[in-house]
Amino acid sequence: MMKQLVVLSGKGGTGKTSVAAALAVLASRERKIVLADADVDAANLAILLDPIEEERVDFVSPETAAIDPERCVACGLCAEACRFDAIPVEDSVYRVDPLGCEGCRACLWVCPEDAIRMEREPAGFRLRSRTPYGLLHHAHLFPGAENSGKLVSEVRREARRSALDGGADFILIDGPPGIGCPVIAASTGVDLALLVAEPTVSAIHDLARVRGAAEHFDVPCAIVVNKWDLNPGKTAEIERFAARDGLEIWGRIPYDREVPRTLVMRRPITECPAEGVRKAIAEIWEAARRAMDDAGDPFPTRG
Amino acid sequence: MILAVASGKGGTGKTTVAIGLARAAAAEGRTVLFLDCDVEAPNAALFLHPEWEEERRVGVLLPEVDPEKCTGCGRCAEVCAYSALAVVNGKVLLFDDLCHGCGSCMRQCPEKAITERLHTTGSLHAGRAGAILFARGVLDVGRAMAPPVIRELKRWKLGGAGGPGRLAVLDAPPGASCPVVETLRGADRVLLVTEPTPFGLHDLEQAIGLARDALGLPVDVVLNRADEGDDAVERFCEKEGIPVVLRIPFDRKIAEAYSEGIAPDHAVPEVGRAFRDLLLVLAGREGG
Ligand code: SF4
Ligand code: SF4
Ligand code: SF4
Ligand code: SF4
Repeated sequence: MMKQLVVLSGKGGTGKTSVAAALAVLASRERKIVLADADVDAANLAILLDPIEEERVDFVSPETAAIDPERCVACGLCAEACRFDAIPVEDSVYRVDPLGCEGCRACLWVCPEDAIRMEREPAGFRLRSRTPYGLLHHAHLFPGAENSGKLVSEVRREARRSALDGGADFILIDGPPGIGCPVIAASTGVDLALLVAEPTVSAIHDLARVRGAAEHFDVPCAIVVNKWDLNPGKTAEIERFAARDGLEIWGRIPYDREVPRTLVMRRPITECPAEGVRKAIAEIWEAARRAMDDAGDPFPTRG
Repeated sequence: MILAVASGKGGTGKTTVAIGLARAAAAEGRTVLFLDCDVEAPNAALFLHPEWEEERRVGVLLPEVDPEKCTGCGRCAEVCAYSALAVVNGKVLLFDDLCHGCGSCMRQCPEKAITERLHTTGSLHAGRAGAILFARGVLDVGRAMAPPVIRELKRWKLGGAGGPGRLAVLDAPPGASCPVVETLRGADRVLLVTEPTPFGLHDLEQAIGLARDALGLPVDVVLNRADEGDDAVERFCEKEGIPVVLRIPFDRKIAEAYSEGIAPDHAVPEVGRAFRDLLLVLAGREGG
């Protein structure tokens, strides 16, 4: 049965993408996998995976309003109705700020002069690329474009289709930071979320929040601690958190300055010269495989 | 000056820089407001330890239909841009999670059958951290929409905060879509914190595309862990004519202090001086 695993972190920059790329490398040696980069705001997985682009499909934004200056009589009703402060007025000229507009149409319904139309703009594109490790589905969202949740859902739908067509049994998803709509879109219906945390007060704070969000959407979790020896005391705190919540810790990646050097060369950390790092990644993949293969109960249940 | 500190990529040190600047300005006796707009991962309080004084719940206004007045005409469902309403067998159904609280259904209902109630999706907190006025928004776990919480936070505390001699520091969320747009709108300038890696460069391009190109704001760059990568970010900034106003070398002491929730200038005094200098540079830009 096809399994889906999403890598999340709450706080950004804890090593989510590095872990996802390394797992992709190791998983692809044994399995047929499909990859999805669901962090469409900051899509970085491709940087580490030597992709060759195969398909590019435009993505249009949700609607935004526009005022026709020929028809507008500057009555101001639209600005009054807009709850998103998206219709500023300057020298009694009303115009829509497309970056503030949420496309709710409230202005359109109240305008007595029928001066408002709804428009759609290109908002980015969705990509399918071939990598040495499997097909990669990713996307590029234009800066400021709205609704990354919707684009995330499209990326995941395409990844699922590729996996079904190609007989892959594992979809690995690099998720976005935070706990809001893109994270929800990236993790609904997955079999497991792997949470990457650093031993810092902020990462621990956000770990609890992303864990809460996953629980809210019924997604079981496991934990990886990155740079664990930067602060062993905080790592112990993460371990206590995991024990209390019945979560498995799949691995502890040591802090090593060879890691950023490897990433700067655009190589996954499976190629990091530091042996401790490579060993930790191998253990994480072992744990992931075990969890996937455990047929009756595919992923560890929550305590 | 309303200064937004943003980053594109998460974990580049955005909060560290925002805190460092706020503390440097406060140490000089300026009136400083710090707004943590990263409502999905609000961390600045872990470093500034404010004493909370005020709290309020915020969210979206959800419609409520009075079945006595409703005739099942379907107008509300027709005007809703998000299909958050449906009329089934003459009864109105609302899908809470889809509603943006725009008020159209209420305004357009011919029977005046709709009223609104606040559906809370987050909270705002404010207090004092020494001389710094501190406020943050926190999105409730399990809720999808960060922008309304950010919007309410700014409406609550930002009014007048950017006046002469004052400094408002907005700690923005990572990324380059809706929550960042909501934070950056109305700022005077943006400081983008990045790292000299291919990830940092890619996400910096996104952040510049938003802050400078789409929003038309003046932009400066801070390079964190400046010695831990390549020179691609520097070359990019030079080509684009974007000043790199501060380079912070990697320092295990800063990283360890950060992990304990200790402000960077507290751990390494030179960093505090660097932030004071940076403030002067930014103030000079604003003036000239
Ligand atoms: S569509 Fe909605 S958000 Fe956009 S300008 Fe009109 S009222 Fe404002
Ligand atoms: S409601 Fe219509 S006519 Fe009135 S200011 Fe807005 S666009 Fe112009
Ligand atoms: S528009 Fe008003 S009367 Fe018509 S279905 Fe909706 S709530 Fe009922
Ligand atoms: S308030 Fe707006 S978004 Fe919510 S149900 Fe009414 S029309 Fe739809």
